[in-house]
Parts: sequence; structure tokens; C-alpha cells
Amino acid sequence: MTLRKQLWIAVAIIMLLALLVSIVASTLSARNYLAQQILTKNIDNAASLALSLSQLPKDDTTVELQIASQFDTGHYRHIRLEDPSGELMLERHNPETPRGVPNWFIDTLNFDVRPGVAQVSDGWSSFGTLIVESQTNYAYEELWAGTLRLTAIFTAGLLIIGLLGSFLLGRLIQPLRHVVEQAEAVGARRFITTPEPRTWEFRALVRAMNRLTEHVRVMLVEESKRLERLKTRLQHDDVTGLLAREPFLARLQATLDNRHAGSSGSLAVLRIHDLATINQIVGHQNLDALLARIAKVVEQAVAHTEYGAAGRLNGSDIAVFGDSIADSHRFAQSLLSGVRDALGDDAPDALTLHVAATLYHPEDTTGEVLARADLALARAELEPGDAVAHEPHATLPYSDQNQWRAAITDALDQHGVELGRFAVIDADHQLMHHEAPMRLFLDGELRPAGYFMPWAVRLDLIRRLDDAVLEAALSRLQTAGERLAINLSVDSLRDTHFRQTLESRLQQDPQAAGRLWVEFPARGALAHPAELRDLCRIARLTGFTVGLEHAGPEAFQAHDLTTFGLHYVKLQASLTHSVHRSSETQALIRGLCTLAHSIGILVIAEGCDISDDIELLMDAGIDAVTGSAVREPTR
Amino acid sequence: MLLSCARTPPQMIRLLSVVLMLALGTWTLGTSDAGLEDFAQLEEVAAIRYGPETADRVREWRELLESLADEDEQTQIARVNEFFNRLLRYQDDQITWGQEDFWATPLEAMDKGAADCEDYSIAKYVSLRKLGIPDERLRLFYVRARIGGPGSNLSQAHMVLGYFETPRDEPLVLDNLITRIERAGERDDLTPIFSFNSRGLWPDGASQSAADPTARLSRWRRVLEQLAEYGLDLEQPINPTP
Repeated sequence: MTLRKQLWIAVAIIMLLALLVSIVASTLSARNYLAQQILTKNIDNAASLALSLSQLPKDDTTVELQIASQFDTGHYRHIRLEDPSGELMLERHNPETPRGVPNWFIDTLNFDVRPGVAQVSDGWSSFGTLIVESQTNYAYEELWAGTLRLTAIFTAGLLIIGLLGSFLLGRLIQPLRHVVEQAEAVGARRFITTPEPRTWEFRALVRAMNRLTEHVRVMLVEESKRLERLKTRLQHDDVTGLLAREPFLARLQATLDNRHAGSSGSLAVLRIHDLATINQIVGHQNLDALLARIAKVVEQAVAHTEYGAAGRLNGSDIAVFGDSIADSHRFAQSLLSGVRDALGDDAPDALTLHVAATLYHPEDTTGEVLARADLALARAELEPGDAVAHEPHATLPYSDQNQWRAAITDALDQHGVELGRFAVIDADHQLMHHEAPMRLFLDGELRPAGYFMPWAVRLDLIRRLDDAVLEAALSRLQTAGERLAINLSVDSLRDTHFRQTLESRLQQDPQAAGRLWVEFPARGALAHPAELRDLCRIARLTGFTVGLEHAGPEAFQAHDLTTFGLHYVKLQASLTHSVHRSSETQALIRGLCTLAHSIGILVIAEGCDISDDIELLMDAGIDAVTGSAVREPTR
Repeated sequence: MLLSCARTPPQMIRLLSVVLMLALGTWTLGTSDAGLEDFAQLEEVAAIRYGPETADRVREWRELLESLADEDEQTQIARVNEFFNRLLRYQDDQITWGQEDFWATPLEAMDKGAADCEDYSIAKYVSLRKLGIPDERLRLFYVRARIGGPGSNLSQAHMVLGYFETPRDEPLVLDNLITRIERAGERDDLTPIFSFNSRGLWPDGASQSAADPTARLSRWRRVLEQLAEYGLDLEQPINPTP
């Protein structure tokens, strides 16, 4: 029961009791007073009428006239004259009952006033007994009216006190609602503070709640920091700081498995020839330093790619892959030259580097890609000095730039882009939006973006593709009431003209804008903060939603996301994949969510392929998930 | 002020002992004859409130009533009339009570040893009621009494008690001026003006009054209330007729 209801009940009970007491007290005292007055009147009037009758001649007419005149001009209910033996001689009676007074009230009050009795004498002998009863109707009527008046006054009082009370109560318990909201927010790992109210008791409560919230927040932040450090140590190679073998392969697998977006690029493996010998020559410490410098170059190479990673596969092998790198041979060469440039003359003479590269595509497995790299590496090792080898992808339909350009342009002109449709569901298993990655009709079927994207980037066709994606999305938003998320490239983000087009197109159609979600690759977009900020400004203006995709922990650590006004971030699949077997990853995700929520950003997990992971991710604070395990919610 | 202070303690003790004695009396006599019991109580009240002399008179009164209980009504009225005319001497209210008109209860009259006409009538009325004569057959009469023999124009207001052998008969007059009981018709010196008794003044069947504050305002009702306060119940004759 609500406090307000209890207040009303209490007021009603108190007022009812007060009403009853007042009615009983006032009615009883008035009743007794009236009864006394009436009794006195009965006695007195009987005596005076008897006295005057005693003085008069006792003929019937005179007696009747005397009694009638008294009865008619006075206020009597009954006047009766009996002879000495008790026989009725004369009677006047007014049977009227009180008007407008309920019977139960009359029965309850029950004015049982004794009649006045007096003796009429005729000389010495007794003539009769006179019995006089006064009219009591007016007393009932007056008391009933008084009762009604009291009831009305108390009803009005009840209403006024009740309304006033519930108004004050509403003001009083306002802080309580804030505290409930705050507690719920803490449950959802959002940490807000409540302004302190004036009421002393509530102020103590609110203060305690604020302190608790702050404690929990600090605790969680520290915990996630600690776990992050732990994770870094576990996942990374001590010497080079690169990913260890397992995490690296997981990252590669996640890239290949990114089924709906699809992804392709190049993988390179750099092998240091005869590491044991070099170790003997330069010593352990110098070798470690050498490896660290090589690792630095490799990491820089990764940083230039849209999405990639570098890892140390074993003592002598360092691997790196990057999305959207279409020419693996050139990638390998640039890697080798980069390392050599960095080492310069400090490199020991015995150092020989072999770099092998190969392309990977969405249908590949990690094993296939590594096997091709091994094949190339074997070829490279045949060379005496530094060498680069490259193993092409067997299944690609187009062999050179011109063929790719013609194929993509034709597909765009003839079929346009198609948009996929993958559900993103929130913690309540409700649809948040549909992710709509682009598809192109190539080589006889619809191909995911990863299939052609490296070439589109290289051939500068990406802007045309993005334009087509935007148009396709808007036309679909016109017809269907769903929410769509489209993936756009960093090239488009950087293009002022594209941003202007986006602004003007969406201003014309605020309906569609409200349902459009636009996302950019996190690493590339964050490298251009000014453009991203401008895009977020347009989003605020026109009403669409902006987010980042493929975001890793570094997106949160290296950038101040608060300055953009982003709405959401999609966490990369490699994090999602290890969530069920690694409590460190869970802690990391929890920490990232806490951070994002504290600045009002939703966190969505990509690549959720195991249905058990959905709950695991939601528990860690993720707001929504997408991936092959996510089903379209049934309505 | 000093005087009243000095007088307070004995008064308090007296009052307390009245209450105590009343309670004791009621308790010790609780099993005795209902009609007599209140007389025993009355004696104690008289003893405590007014002193032994008054108590003696009350005892005398009780003894009279006890001895008359089995007599016929003629004897009863004669003896009662004679008893009070002898016991109380006539004295004006102004002298006895210091006020124009005062209706005294039998106890008050016995205390003073003096009475005027209504006090005689009241005392006789109470006595006859206690002897079992019903209210219908007793009336107190306001009468105009001619004084100074037949043909005199001098008259004064007077009160007598009328006793009716049957309700319709002429009453016998119990008077304190002419002590012999005569039939009303023979008393041509008296002209009846108005008559009354206690009928209808008390709730039916109730022996005690319901502490009605208006009762004190009427002289007649005050007397009746006072009797009830003494514990003297007129509805209960000392020797209920079998």
C-alpha cells in the first residue's frame, strides 16, 4: 500500500472518530438538556392548567374549551384528562412525527420524557387527573440537522486535511524516489548522485546513498584497472609487448569469422633466421632489445591498418595481419624495409629476416591462412639473405586492379548495393536495431564487404559505395519502420562533401533520421577526431545515432570519448569470443561498460556466436549483442 | 474566615461519619423488612446530622408508625394527625428558617421542633404514605382559611392534607389549626383552591429520582428529592399489606 493511501486511511479514521465523538457528545448533551426542559415544561404546564381548571365551573363545554385552547395555542403532543377512577374524560392528541428525520435516529435518541401530571379538583372532591405531554418533534428535527451539519463539516475537513497531507507527503518523499532511481542506476552500473533534500532523515539516507554509489564506482574502476593489467600481462609477450600466440590467433579467427561484415586483408610472418646463433653472438639482453625494436615497427604497421593485430607466434616468428590490405606482396616488402630502416646499422651482421605474406578472405580458416604463409616462408628461406615471398589466394576470381575495378563498378551500376539484415538485441531481448552491412553482386553471387573491400579502398571506390549504402538505407527506412545501422568508411567520414550531403539529406527526412544508426571503424575514426566531432554535431542536429564499430579496449584507454557525443560503441568480436573462457575478459568488458555508461555511451558486443555468451555478456554490463547466435526476436 | 476554618474539621468528620454510618446501616440492616430499614437509616442520619434530640423524635415517629402498621386507616390518620400536631409547634417560616416560605421535610421539621401549615401537611402525607395509603387517596390542599369565626372577612392562605376514603368521596381534612379530623364539607371555614400529590413526578416504578437538577427548583419536588436522599421510599410501606 502506498504511503498516500495509508495517510488517507489514517485521516479518514481520525476524522470519523472525531465525528462520532462530536456527534455523540453534542447530541447527548443537547438531548439531556432538551429532555430536562421538556419535563419541566410538562410539569409546570400540567400544574397551571390544572389550577385554572380547578377554579372554573366544571361543565363539559368549559373544561373542553379550556383544554382545547391550551392545546391549540401551545406546543403539545398530548393532553388528557382522566376522572379519579382512571377513565378517559377528554383528550387532545397531535400524532405528527418529526419531518425529514430517519426512524433509526428517532429510535436511538428516544426522548422518553415523562408527562406532567396534575390533579384537578372540584371543591374538595377530586375532579380528575390531567396528563400533559409537550411536542418533541422540533427537538428531533433540530438534533438531526445538527448531526448533518457536523457530518458535512467533518467531510470538508477530511478532504482538506487529506489533500493538504498528500500534497505535503508527495513533496516529502520526493528524495525517496530519487534514491530508488539511484539504486537502480547503481544496479545498472551507472553512478549518479542525488541532490540532498531538506528533510533530515532523508538527507542522511541520500548522503549515505551518494557515499555508497561513489564507493561502488571507485571499487569497480579499481577492480577493472587491476584486471586490465592482469589481462595485458597474460595476453602479451613479455619481451616484445606483442600479443602472445593464442590471443593473436583468436584475433585473426575473429576477423575471419566476422561473417556478416566479412573481411579480408593480408597476413605476414616475419622470421628471424637462426635465432639461437644470434643469441650466442649478441647475448640474451641485446637480442631482447632487438626483438623489441622489431616489434615496434610491426605495431606501427598495424596502426595503419583499419583493423589488425601483431603477435609473437614463437621465439623467432612475429606475425601481423591487417584488414583491407589488398596487396600482400607489397605489405611484406614494406614490413621488411620498415624493420631494416628502423634497425639501421645497429643490426648484427648475422641477422637475416624472411618475410612471407598471403591474402586472407572471409571463408578461410586460420589453419589455411597460416599454411599458405608457411609455404611462402619456406620459399623465402631458400634465399641466402633477407627475402620476401608471397603466396596468392587460390580462389579469387579477379586477378588484377582493372578486373576488380570493372567488376565492382558493374555490380554497383547494374545491381546497386544490397544491405544485409542482422538483429541487435538488448538485455530484454528486444530488438535494438538491425545491422545492415553492404553486399555486392560479384562473380555470380552476393559477396560480403570483406570480399571486395580491400580493392574498393585501393581503387578509391569506397566513397561511391558509401553513397550507395546511404541511399539504400534511406529508401529502406522510408518503407519499413525498422531501425537500421549502416557501416561507413573512414574515407567518407573525412570527406566534407559527404558530411554535408548527409546533413542535408537527413534534415529533409527527420523521420528516417531518427531511425538511422551510422557507425565507423573505431580505430580509423578516432584517428580523425575533428571530423568525428563534426559528424556527431550533425547527428545532434538531424537526430540520427552515431557509433563506433570494431572497438577494442584501446579505444577507451587512448581517447577521451566524452568529447564527441557518441551514442554507442560496438566491441570487437575478439573480446566477445573469449568471454566464456576467460574471466579476465569478463572483467575487462565490465570495466569498459562501466566507463562507457558513466559517460552515457551504450556498449554493444559484436560477434556473439555462442548463445550462452549472450547472458554472460549482459551480466558483464553489455547493453546489446549481435552475432550469429542472436536470433530475431519474435513479436 | 478564621471562624469558618475552625469549623471545617468537625464538619468534615461529621460528614464522613454520616457516609460511613449510612453504608454500615445499609449493610447491617440489609436483610430486615424493606419498609423499616429506611427508618433505621433515617434515625442514624438524624443522629449524626442534627443530634440525639432529633434522633429521639425520629425514633418516636418510627415507633408510632410501627405500632400503627396493623391498625385500620381511620386510626392511622387520627394518630398521625395527633402525633404531628403534638410533636411540632406552629411557628412562622420567617422565624424558623429566616425566609418567607420554606417547605421542610419531616426530618427538618422535627429538628426544629416547629412547623407551619405545609410542613405539617407534608409530614402527615409522608407518614400516611409509609403506612400504605396510596397516593390517589391523599392530596395536599391549598385552602383559603377564614379566621375569626363565621361572617369574618379575614382570611389567610393555608394548607391541609386531604384523605379520601374512596377517590370520589369528600375527603377528611387533617389540619394543624383545628386538630380534630372532620369531613371537608363540615369545614366551611376552608375554601379549597388547588390540590396536588406526588403522582407523575417520579418515573414509573422508580423509587429513586434520576438526579434531575431541575428538581431542586420546585419546592414540592425538593422535598420529595430530599426524602429519597434520606433513603425514605414512599412507594414502600413499612408493613406491606398482604
